[in-house]
Amino acid sequence: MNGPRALALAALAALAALPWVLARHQLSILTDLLIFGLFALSLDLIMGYTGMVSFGHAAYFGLGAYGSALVLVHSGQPVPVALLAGALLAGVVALPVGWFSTRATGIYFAMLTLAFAQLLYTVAYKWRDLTGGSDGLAGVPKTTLFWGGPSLATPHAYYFLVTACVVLALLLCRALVRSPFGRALQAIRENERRFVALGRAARPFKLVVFVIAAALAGLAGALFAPFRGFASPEVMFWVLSGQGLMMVLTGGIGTLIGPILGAMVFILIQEVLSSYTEHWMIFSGAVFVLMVIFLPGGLVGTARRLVTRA
Amino acid sequence: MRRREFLKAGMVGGTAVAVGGPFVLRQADAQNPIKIGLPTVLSGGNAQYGTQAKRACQLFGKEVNARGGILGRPVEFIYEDTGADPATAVRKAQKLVEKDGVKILTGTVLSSEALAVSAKCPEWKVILMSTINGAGALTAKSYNRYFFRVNTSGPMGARAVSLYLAEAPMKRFFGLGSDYAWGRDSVASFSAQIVAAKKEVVGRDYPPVGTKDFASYIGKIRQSRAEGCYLVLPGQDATIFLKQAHQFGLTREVKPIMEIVELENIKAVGEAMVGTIGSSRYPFTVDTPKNRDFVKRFHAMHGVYPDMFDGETYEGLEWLAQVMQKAGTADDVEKIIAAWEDSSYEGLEGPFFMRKCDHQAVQPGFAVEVVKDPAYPHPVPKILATYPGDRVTPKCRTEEFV
Repeated sequence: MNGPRALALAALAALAALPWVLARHQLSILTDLLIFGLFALSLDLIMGYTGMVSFGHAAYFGLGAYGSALVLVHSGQPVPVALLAGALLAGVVALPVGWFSTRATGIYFAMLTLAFAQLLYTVAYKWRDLTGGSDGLAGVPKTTLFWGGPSLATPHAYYFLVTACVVLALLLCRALVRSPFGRALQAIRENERRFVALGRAARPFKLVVFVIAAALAGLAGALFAPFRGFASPEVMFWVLSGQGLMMVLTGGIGTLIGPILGAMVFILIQEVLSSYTEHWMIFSGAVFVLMVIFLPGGLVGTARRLVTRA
Repeated sequence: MRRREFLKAGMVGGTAVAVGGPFVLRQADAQNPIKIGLPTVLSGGNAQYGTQAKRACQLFGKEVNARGGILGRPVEFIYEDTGADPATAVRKAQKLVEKDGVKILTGTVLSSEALAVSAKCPEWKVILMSTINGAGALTAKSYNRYFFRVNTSGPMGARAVSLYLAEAPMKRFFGLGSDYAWGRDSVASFSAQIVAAKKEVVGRDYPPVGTKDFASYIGKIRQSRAEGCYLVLPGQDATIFLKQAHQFGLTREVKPIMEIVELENIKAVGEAMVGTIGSSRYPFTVDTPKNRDFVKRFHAMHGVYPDMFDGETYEGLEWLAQVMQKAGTADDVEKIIAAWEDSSYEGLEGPFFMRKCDHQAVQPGFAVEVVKDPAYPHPVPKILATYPGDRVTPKCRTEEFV
């Protein structure tokens, strides 16, 4: 067995064993970390592999959260139905947004995604009858795994659901970036003009990957709403989009596993610091600056460099 | 060699912990503290409320622990900053419940935060005791049996003001409420009651929380030709609005009527606030022997006079201690709930009663006016009228009044 595969198996075994080792609160944090890991993973798909830097990725996380919250609050369907609804809602909305945004590249693409995200945020904020406005939707239940199936209300059950979703999403993304489609994305990232000169249109590829990334972010949001029992406009605010970028850069852009780790480090720092001081943002900002300066390529990129050098 | 020494030291240390651990644990058990968690706002424009909750906890904690604690156990408070964001409030509350093992949460500041945390309490099996949150929905549409509201709610404040205004000559009113649960609920409640009193609501608007420039709202209020403006704004928002309204000369034409008249606003706005009327959930000037003594103790500890939520939070904690004594437990949440329902308590400003049907504390309501008083370094709320609890408390699990 080669190194990376052994490492992956070890990580899987650890994820399966951890619930029996960790205290309840630690398991909650781990679930939280995995959900945001999935969010960062989806952002890496467009940012790291296609070179599209989105400043509005939180919008799809938020759409997923609202989609799943609405299904669970109003109909009490099993959680997977809500997850599907959330991911679908995010993907469907991403289609027109992506269609417009992919007309531009670079900073203009980033600005367009930001504008659309803030627009969606405002809709969530103002549409009180549906979204509860700034109060959000509270009391989102963790229902069952399927109709008449086991309840997901225990911390263990929900943790395994989240873990399964994250692992599947990671495998899907891995398969995607290694497929011909994924190679095309990376070609676009390296040199879009050349890609076009070779006789392929870049936009359809960019649109498709944008929608896939949005749907995965939606899945993360859809997992988040029942976990926290809550969805509010804050989960689609630009602050979360920015934090997503920080998670990807911290972990290692274009590595898939890196952003998941990056999200974990980012949230852990926040979790620990914010219990000690109200000024935790100064410290997490400083940590980020130091990481970008001293660990270019993020955690995973740096680790890989060290391994190959040794 | 060094590594081996390190390992040896580690082994010795580990053994010491393993042997000494149980002893230390047993010691702690004898005075196992009662932990109360506050997912509250300590930063940003609403930090003044977290500060008030904290001040009340400090005074109460010092006093009760000096008396030997509750049920012989000392009381300990754990504070977490939510930054006035409901999602963070849930995360922090979850940490307090799962990591620190608290059975009682209190100190939530925004009603939107309370709605989010309250919805999780049945799952966590912990009590959320509100001493600050105003939104009527908390004890009506969104009621659950793990939520207790010790403080006067928004609709109750609106009721007290409306009862007072029914006798006043003003006829036309404008409602300005922050764009979240508390602001919207209270403006709706005020409107319903003012209309019932055969008066008119000529306009309503809802600025978002954290608004810094109220010029457009001030323009609207002036255009509406209202005689009074009902204000439901939290913390800094209220201060900023009142300052700007004064600069624009609005307060000369339109009487500001506040759902909550707070010292914090009075101190920040200063003399310009004299003449403002409104309701107060706890005016520190209320003249009962119990309150006179409390104000003295509070001032001695903190060097300021107690604001609304200093008083309300202190009352909540004192009542909770009384309930725990009665239930004989600080850990069995179901027993605490049962002991609290339909129980009475003598508060700072008068008698309190916890209704079983919706966990809203019935208590007196006040209409106050901001006046100058040479006995104090800043203007203070003077009580214009006191209404008994049964007149200002809505029908069970509703926001309506008889």
